[in-house]
Amino acid sequence: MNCATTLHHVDALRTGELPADVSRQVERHLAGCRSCRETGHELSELAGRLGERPSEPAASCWPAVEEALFHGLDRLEPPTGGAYWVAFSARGVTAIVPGDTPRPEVEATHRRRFDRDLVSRPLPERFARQVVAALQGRAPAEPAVDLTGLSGLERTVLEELVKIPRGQVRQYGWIARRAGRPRAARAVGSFCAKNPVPFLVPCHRVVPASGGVGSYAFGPAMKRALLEREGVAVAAL
Amino acid sequence: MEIQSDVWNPAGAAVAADVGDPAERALALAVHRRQDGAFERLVKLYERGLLDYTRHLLGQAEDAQEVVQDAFVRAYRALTRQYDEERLESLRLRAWLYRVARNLAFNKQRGKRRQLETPLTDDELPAAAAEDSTPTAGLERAQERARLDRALATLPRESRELIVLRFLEEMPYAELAATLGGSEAALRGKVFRALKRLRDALEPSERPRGDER
Repeated sequence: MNCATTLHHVDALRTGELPADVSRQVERHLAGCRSCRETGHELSELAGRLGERPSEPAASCWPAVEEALFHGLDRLEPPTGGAYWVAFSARGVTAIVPGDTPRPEVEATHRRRFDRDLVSRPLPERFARQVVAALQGRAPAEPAVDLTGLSGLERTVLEELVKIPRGQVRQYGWIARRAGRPRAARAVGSFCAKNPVPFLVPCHRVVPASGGVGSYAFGPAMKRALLEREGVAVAAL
Repeated sequence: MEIQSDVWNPAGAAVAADVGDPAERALALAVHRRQDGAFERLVKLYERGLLDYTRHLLGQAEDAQEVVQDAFVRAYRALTRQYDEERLESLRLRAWLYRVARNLAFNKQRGKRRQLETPLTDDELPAAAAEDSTPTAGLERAQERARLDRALATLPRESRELIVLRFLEEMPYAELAATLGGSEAALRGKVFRALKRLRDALEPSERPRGDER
């Protein structure tokens, strides 16, 4: 084995990564070649210094990675009855789903819609209080919801829904005009129907022009009850 | 002069985590199965090394942070959605993570229309000022670190990368081959040349003495 080849192998010899036969040849050459021994020692020493070198302390990137990949999920059984799955980010509630939905289905739907996996975490108290208050007819004017996963128009529609004062109702056409899409009442209706955070974003305050309370993801009886708790004269609709 | 065999082959110096490390496989599988806390463990296990590596590739701490976060997000999606358990059997997790980060780092560089092969520019070099702002206890180590970082930053990208992966991240040659491609034998030659370049980039007074004691 010549000098150049020997030196190529010196580092792997140091860590015991050479096949036995190569290892023997390298050692034999080193034993008889002062120049290779010197270069080898010098570079091994440098390698050692590099290894001892402390790496710079840096803040963990876990919080940012977690936020990009996961939402928390918890079950809520409010005093008003029933049970709900509540998904949330650090910013706010991202979805409220009927509690009788099987969890794998909740997870699959959430993944499709928000590109996030759900992990079991306790629902922060401040979010839980808001959901319970909304179910009791005291929905907060500034709900802690996270709508960042939604498309532009969908988000605008939901933001307009939040502006309907408690105790009042509006029609789809009104929302469409407010969202800057006066002729898209039908699309607006479908965004209301798909509202991922019912109660907190009060889609129950939107009623059909034809009269009555109209349809609702949790059934018309639930919609009527919510409106009554908020002080709406439902019979007059 | 007699060479001491323990200098060349010290006991316990064999680099761990060789072919298909079972702990790596178990962790990849746990993430694939979405076990609670598995991905957090993975991130905390590898983030420091990846960040160090990416920082040396890019020269910018902020860019490196972004690349590493992005690499973890992509890795999670691939492990949970694209890879089946059979494919995970043959996955070298760490080498693969470094490859993901490496590709993202290169894309970022390309996006900035910069030459990958050129050494870092002056303002990208680690600041020399750090040397006197450190408490005396760690002063010597900080100075040593700053010297090595400065010398490292003047090397071509390929040499820089090899040195970081081999000597800072302590990757075995098999894993190095899985990360960068190429044969182990070819990589041994490249690592040797990179190390020699680094020695030459150090000021003469900073070089290892190399005498046989």
